[in-house]
Amino acid sequence: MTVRLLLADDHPVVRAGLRAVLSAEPDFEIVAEAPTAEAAVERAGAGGVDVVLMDLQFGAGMHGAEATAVITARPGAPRVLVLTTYDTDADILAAVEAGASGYLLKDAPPEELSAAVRTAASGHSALAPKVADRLMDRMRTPAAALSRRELEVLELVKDGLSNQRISKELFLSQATVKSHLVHIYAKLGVDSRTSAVAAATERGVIRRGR
Amino acid sequence: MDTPKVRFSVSGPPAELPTPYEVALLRIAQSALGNALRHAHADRVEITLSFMDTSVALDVVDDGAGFTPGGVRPDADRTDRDHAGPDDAVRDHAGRDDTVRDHSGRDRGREVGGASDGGFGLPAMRSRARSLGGTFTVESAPGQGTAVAVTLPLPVTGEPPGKASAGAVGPEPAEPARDAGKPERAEGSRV
Repeated sequence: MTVRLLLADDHPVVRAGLRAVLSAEPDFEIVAEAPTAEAAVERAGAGGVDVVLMDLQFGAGMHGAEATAVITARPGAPRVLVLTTYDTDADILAAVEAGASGYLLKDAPPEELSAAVRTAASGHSALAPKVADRLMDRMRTPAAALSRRELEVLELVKDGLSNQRISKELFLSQATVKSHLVHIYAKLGVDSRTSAVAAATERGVIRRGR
Repeated sequence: MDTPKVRFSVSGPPAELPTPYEVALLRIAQSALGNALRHAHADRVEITLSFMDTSVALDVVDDGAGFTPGGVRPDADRTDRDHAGPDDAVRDHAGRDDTVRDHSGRDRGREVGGASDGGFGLPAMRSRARSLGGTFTVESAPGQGTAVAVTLPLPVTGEPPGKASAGAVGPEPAEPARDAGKPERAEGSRV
């Protein structure tokens, strides 16, 4: 059975590299490329695709996790495999929650990538070893693992937003934003916004810098 | 008036709640959503149920006209928030004051507040929250939307006593000076 692939990445060189690697597999057919998340959503909706290889960061446009959610929400949707350089909890959880069938890192050896595409095409999950490690760590120490919502709040704190701005952004009361912060501080063992961001980036929970 | 987009979402691992909690949350959600639909002229209303370690929070937040909580019921132990703080950028999120105000019925706090409905049913929501040992807050200002939040402590289910209340009475996070507009908790009933 041939696996029909859609390659979504904003970098032409990355798409060309993926095409070169994946088209060498006799059972893969690359049916389309998309330079933006929006284009990927549109092409995936047009049908004839089994697996989408989805980047997360597309410049200023729609985010890859957002596109994944839109694509996988449709009936008969293709599988989405996220392929990115980011390996933080925040990125991984957002993608998994959006319905991604797998999460791979761009430093993966080509044979791992091909194997993951076949795994996803057959309806199973494929995770990079490093990503599986992070998810298992979260399961081993659930009390210390930040929830998806807490990660969202913390990323906005990192961006320098006040509680008031965060509440507008997430459509939550400031009271609830504050409750989330209390839990974030407790889980990270810190007592300020700055040290929370520092501890979380240090542990790879959220991305470093902007 | 166009109907606003209303969205419901759940965050955190859902826990089974005793019936009185469910009833309280449902009634408060209905009441707050009713207010948002009738009065706020909002584009968007979000209802969020947040399960945290030791509490559950229900937020009903709109981006509509807002009001002055103090104008609703001057004697209530309300929480309101002052938007005169230096964080001007906030306005960009809620829409410019003047454009919102044009159709906002800005004075309705005064019109409705004194009416026999008890001021948007806020006192009834507050007492429901309190009867379960929870807190109730209203955050609003003209042109800034409205956030209604109730937080109920989860009934303790055989957890070590020291840990059980950590979420509800933990230290308040320190906030920078620009957060001067944050609401003050007027409730003394946090458990």
